[in-house]
Amino acid sequence: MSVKVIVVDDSSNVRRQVVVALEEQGYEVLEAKDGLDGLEKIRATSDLSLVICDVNMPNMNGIDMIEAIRQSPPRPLQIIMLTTIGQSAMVRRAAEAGAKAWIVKPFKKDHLIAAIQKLLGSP
Amino acid sequence: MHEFFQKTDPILIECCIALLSSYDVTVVCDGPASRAEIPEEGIVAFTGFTGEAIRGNLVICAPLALICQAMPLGHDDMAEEEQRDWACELSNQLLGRLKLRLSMFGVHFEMTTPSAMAGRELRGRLADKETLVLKFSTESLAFYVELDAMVAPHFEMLATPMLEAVSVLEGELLMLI
Repeated sequence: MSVKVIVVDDSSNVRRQVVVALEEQGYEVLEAKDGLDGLEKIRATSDLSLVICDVNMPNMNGIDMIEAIRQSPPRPLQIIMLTTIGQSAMVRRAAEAGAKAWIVKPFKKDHLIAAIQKLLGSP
Repeated sequence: MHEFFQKTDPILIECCIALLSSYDVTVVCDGPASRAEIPEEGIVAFTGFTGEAIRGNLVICAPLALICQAMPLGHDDMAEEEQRDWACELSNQLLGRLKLRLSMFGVHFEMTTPSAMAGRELRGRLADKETLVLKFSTESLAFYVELDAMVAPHFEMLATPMLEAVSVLEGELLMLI
């Protein structure tokens, strides 16, 4: 059974870049277009292993989304932030909410795969 | 022109050149322009920002061909929605770069989600004391970046950058475990 990942980003192009990079590695990738959509899909997908999410999105931003996940019943879910932001204060807030890696766009495919494999192992 | 623009001008130029370079597009800055004008089919993408002492917009006004050239996984028959989406993302990433660097100088703001419009014979606003317009070009295409900002009287930028304000830069991975 393949490892299931969700990418939450309001840019369809960024989602496509992530989907292509991860499917090449054998991951199954779901997509969500903002934090609210992401939260619904994360709650509805019990066998999800990893969330890759942007910060600046309409309806609900990525930090609020991962803080909402944290308030839900505990589950083994890893979180990688993939964003244009790199300010220390925001990185600290994400880490407190459970993010395990932070990548600033434009992302290098190798960095993303390395972070995923460090958190999940190979698919 | 406010001190903010004088200090931000070289940072914005550096950010724009580096951003396009990361998508394999080589650009040079031709300097300030009176306004953005794109005669061919083009896209205007803008992202707003709001802080305690500053607010404004960053706008990219570019030919469609340039947006497509800078798009990873681009293909010939992309829908206009995809092109606008990528123009928004470029605008978001450019303002993100600028925000990172300005935060080292004590300038902080939140970004809005970007928007974009496509059309022909696009024109931006005229450069004035609250609007910086920069012209960039590739070998065959010209495009513009506008930065407009309203700055509060108590606004100030640090003289030297505070490097600890930023944890991670573009293209970098930071593990938090």
